[in-house]
Amino acid sequence: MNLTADQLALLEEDAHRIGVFFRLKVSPIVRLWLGIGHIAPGDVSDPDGAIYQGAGQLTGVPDFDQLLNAMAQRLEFFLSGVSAQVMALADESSDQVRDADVDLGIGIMDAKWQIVGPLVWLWRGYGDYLRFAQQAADGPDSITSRVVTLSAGSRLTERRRGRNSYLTDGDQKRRAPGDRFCERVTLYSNFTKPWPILNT
Amino acid sequence: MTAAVEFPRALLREHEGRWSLRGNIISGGQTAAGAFTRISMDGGGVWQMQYDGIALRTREHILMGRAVERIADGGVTPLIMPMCDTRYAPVITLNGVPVSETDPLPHSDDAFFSDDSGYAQSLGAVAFTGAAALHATEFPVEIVDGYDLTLDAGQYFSLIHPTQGKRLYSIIGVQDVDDTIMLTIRPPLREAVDAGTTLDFRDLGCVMVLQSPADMDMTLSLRRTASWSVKAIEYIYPVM
Repeated sequence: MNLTADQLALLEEDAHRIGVFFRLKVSPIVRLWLGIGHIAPGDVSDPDGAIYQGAGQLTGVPDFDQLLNAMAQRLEFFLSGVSAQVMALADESSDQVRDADVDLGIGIMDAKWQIVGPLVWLWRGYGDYLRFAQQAADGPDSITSRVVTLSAGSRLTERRRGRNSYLTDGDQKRRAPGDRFCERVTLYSNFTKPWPILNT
Repeated sequence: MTAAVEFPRALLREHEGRWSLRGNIISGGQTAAGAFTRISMDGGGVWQMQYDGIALRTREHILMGRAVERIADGGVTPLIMPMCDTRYAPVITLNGVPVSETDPLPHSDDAFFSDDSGYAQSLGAVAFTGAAALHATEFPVEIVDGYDLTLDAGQYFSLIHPTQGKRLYSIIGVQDVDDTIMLTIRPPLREAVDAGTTLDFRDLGCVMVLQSPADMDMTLSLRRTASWSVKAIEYIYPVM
């Protein structure tokens, strides 16, 4: 993590203004940040004018540690709101989430709420699964809140424990895009192949 | 974005009103030495408003209030919540004569509405001299020829954005450098602005939703009048 001199100077002040940025590389790429309103931070890894959505869509970012002779972590991100993009992520794009790149970073802002220097990407991982949770309203005067949780790990998260996968067409294509080796697997379910009987 | 319905200005009869920019601040707590660091992650804040004691005295007031309560739909439908700040708005003169509004605009066929009224339009006394980026908080403006006014910190203005609709901004700093006026505002611009866009200091408002479903409940007193309260929070349209 390299910070510019301007960023370090801002971090030495008493009050810090920091934007937390989240990017999930499904199609289309989900870009969210923890602030209010939308922002185009102009990060070099994004196309020109890429906009990160705010307004509470990304509501919870967990604490995380940099890995230094320690245990690799799994992180859970909380996405809320009923915007079409978040619902599309949870519904239509859920099958794309597994193994999709997840980036978490910060933007250091000055007193005018302008981002100084490039975004600093602190954690890079891979999506695993999405989970829905719905907090029922106590009554008509309160609001039912719906939260989508994205579980993500890094390359080191499952170093000790192998990730389960199956010889299904979907898993095989995820491992090797375009590979048709397992595409007929479903034809063999509930199928009994008698062993050839040799004539003696 | 669909065009949001505006809360009726005829119901701006509040006894008390508040517009606040709310944020999300994390503090490490006060130390014995008095030093403490605060971290703000809200990106400039979000508008929250509250009108209390809106005096609904007539049949028209009550019916209008009920209708807008149903349109708000418990916070599902965004509304443009208006603000009346005429007392503190800049006094605008055109060729030396104070002006408060422009001539109403007719339809494209030059016809007016049935009550001979037309479309209201901004005075257009102050305009952006260049384009301003999304999330900008400082930009140059100019006073249009013929107009005269004094801009001060603390004044409000509204912009109508193509996607985000009507938004409210507060001036926190004015610098006059070589005939260029640099405005510093909060919250940051909700959408990029083209050069020549005019600032509206009269018709103020912001797209908002009710903060909770009961924030526009009307309780009638003796089945006749009501002292009404409304509480709403800024709504940001998602971009795809």
